[in-house]
Amino acid sequence: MKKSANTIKNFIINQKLLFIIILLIIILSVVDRSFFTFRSLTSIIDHITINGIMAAGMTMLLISGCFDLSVGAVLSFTGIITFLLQPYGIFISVIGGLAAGTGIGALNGLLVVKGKINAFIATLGSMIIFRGLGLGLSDSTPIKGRIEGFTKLGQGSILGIPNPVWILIITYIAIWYILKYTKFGRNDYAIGGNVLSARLTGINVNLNSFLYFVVVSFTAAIAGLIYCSRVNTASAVFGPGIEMWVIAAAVLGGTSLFGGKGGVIGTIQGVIILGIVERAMVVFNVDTNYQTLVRGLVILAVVITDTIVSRRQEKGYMSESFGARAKTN
Amino acid sequence: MFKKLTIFIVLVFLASFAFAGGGQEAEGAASGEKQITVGFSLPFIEDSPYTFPFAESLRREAKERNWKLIMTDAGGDINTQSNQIEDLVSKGVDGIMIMPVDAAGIVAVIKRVYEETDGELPMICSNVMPDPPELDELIGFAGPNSYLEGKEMGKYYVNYLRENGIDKVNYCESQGTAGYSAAIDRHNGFLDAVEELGASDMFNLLDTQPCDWSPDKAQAQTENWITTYGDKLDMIYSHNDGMGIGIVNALQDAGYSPGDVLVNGCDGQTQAVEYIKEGWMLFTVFQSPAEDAATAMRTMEKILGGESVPYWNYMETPIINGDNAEDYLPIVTELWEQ
Repeated sequence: MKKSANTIKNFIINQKLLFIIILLIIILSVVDRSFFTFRSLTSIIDHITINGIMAAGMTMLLISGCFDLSVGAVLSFTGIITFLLQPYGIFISVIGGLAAGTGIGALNGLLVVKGKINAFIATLGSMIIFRGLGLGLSDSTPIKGRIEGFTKLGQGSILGIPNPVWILIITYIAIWYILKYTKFGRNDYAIGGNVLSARLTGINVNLNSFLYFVVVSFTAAIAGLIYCSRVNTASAVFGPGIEMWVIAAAVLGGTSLFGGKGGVIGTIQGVIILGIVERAMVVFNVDTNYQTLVRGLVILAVVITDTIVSRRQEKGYMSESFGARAKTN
Repeated sequence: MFKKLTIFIVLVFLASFAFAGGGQEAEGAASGEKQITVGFSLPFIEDSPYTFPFAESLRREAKERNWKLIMTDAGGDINTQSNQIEDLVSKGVDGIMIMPVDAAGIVAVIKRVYEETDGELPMICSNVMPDPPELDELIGFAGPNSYLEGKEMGKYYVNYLRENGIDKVNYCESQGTAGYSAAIDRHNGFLDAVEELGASDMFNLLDTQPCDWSPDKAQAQTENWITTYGDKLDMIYSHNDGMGIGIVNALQDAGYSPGDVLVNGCDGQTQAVEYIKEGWMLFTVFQSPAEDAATAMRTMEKILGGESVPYWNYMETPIINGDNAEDYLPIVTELWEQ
C-alpha cells in the first residue's frame, strides 16, 4: 500500500503540469460546455503560438542564467523593418526583418558578455531603445501590409494545421534536440549551474552566452513575423508586456530564473496553462476591471514559487551564474 | 499503478462531460427562452477615463435588456484582442461589438470570424472605425462621428471670430495620437469646415503636433509654443479635453488670463466644462462615453431583433459653450465620476 501511494505521489509531482492542464480543462468544461469542443480546444493552441515560440527561445537563455526583457521590442521592431522593406519584395523584407530582430539579440549579448552589464539593465535598455526607434521609423503610425503572400505565414495552414502551429512544433523540436543532444545545449546547463566550473571545464562561456541571446531574439523575430502577418499591420507598440508572459510561462514550466535547470517540454506546458488562463477569463466572464490583475497574480505566483523552490535548492553550492551576479551588482 | 490513475482520470473526464451537458439543458428548459449573450471586446480598460464609464454603461444597458454581457480587455495588444474575439466566438455569443486596438489590424480577425461563421454572427465596430471604414463583413459602426465633430469645432471657431470682428488668428494644433482615426478625422473636419465657410484666410497655422490625447504632453507642448511664439499665439485647436486641460494649465502657469488664447476641447469632461464656465475654454463637444456605449447596444439590439440598420450609427455630440455650461456641469460630473 505505502509503495503504491508513493509512486502515485511521485508520478503526480513529476507530471504536475500535465495534471494541472487536465484539471483546468475539466473544470472549464464543467462550467461551460462550449469549452470542450474541437474548435475551442484547438483555438487555444492557435492562440499560444506567438508567445510559445518566444518562450522556447527564452527557455534557452534562462537556463544559462540570464533573461531578456527586450523580446517584445524585438517582436515589434522586426515587424516594422519587415514592413518598411515591403517595396523590395517579400524575400528581402522577411530576411531584413529577421536580421534586424536577431541583431538586437547580438547587441544584448555583447552588452552582457563583453560589456559586463547585467542582463536586466542591458535588455531593459534595448527594449526602450528599439521601441523608441520603432516609433521613430514608423512615425508612430501603424504600417499596413502590402505584400500579397505575406499573410499566408500567420493566417494560412498546411494539411489543416495553421502555419504558426507548424512553426511552433518545429521550434520546440529543434530547441529540445539542441538542449538534449548537442554540446551547445549541454553547455547551457553547465553555464547556468556554475559559471566558474563551466569555464574550468573548457567551455567558452562568453561565446555560448552570447549565442543564447541571439537565439532568444531570433525566436522573438520569428514571432514578430507571425504576429504582423496575422494582423497584416506592423506597429511599434505591438506586444506590450509580452516579455513578462513569456518568462512566466518558461518559469511555470520548470525553468528557473536562476539558471541551471529547465527545458522546453516544461515550457510548452507552461505556455498551454497560461493560454488556458486567458481563455478561462472569457469563459468565467471575469470582470474586465480584474483581468489585468488575474494575469499579474498568475505571473507573480509563478515567480514567487520559483524563487522559494530555488532558494531551498541553492543552499549548498555556490551559485555563480550571470543572473546571480546580476543580483549582487 | 499509472494505468489505474489514467483510467480514473479519463472516467472523471467523461463524467464531467456528461454533467456539463446535462447542466446546460436543465437551465434552458427552466427559463423557457435562451438568454441573449453579447460580447464586447475592449481595447484596454486601465488608465483611460473614457473606457471606464463606457464599460459601466455597457453593463447597465445589458442589465436593462436582461442580456448576458461578456467583456474582454485586450491590454492594448491587437493580437490579444484578436484571440479574445475568437474566444467569444468559441464561447458562443449572439453578437459581437468591437472597439479596435488598431484600426487596420482588426480587419484580419473580422474577416476570419465572418468566414468561420458563414456571416451568421453579427459584428459591429464601436467608437473606433476600422481601416478601411466600410467592410462587407461588418454590419456597421456605432459611435461618434469624429469627422463631423472636427467640422463642428471648425464651424464654431469661424462663427466666433466673425461675430467678434476678428480677421485673423495665428493658431497651433494639438493632435491626438498620430495615425488614430479620431485624430485624422478631427484634423480634416476642422480644415474642411473652415474652407467650406470661406474662412481659410482667417486661420494661420503656426505649428501642429501630436500630443497623444495626453494632458501632460499637451502642457509641455504648449509651454514650448508660448516660448516660441509669445504674444503671436492667438488660439490652440485641441482634439480632445484631455489635451485642452493640459493646455489651459500651461496658460495658467505662464500667467495668462482666461480668453487671452482661445482654447477648446472635445469629450465633455468635468474639468473642461468648468474651464468653459471660467472662460479658459471657449467650448467643448460633449461625447458621452455612456451615450457611446448605449448607441452600440441599441444598434446591436436592432440587429438581433431582425431590423435592418444603416451602416453608420452615429451618436449625438452637442456643443457645450459658455451658454449651457452651467446646465451640463451636473450631468458631466455624475458621468465621469463613476
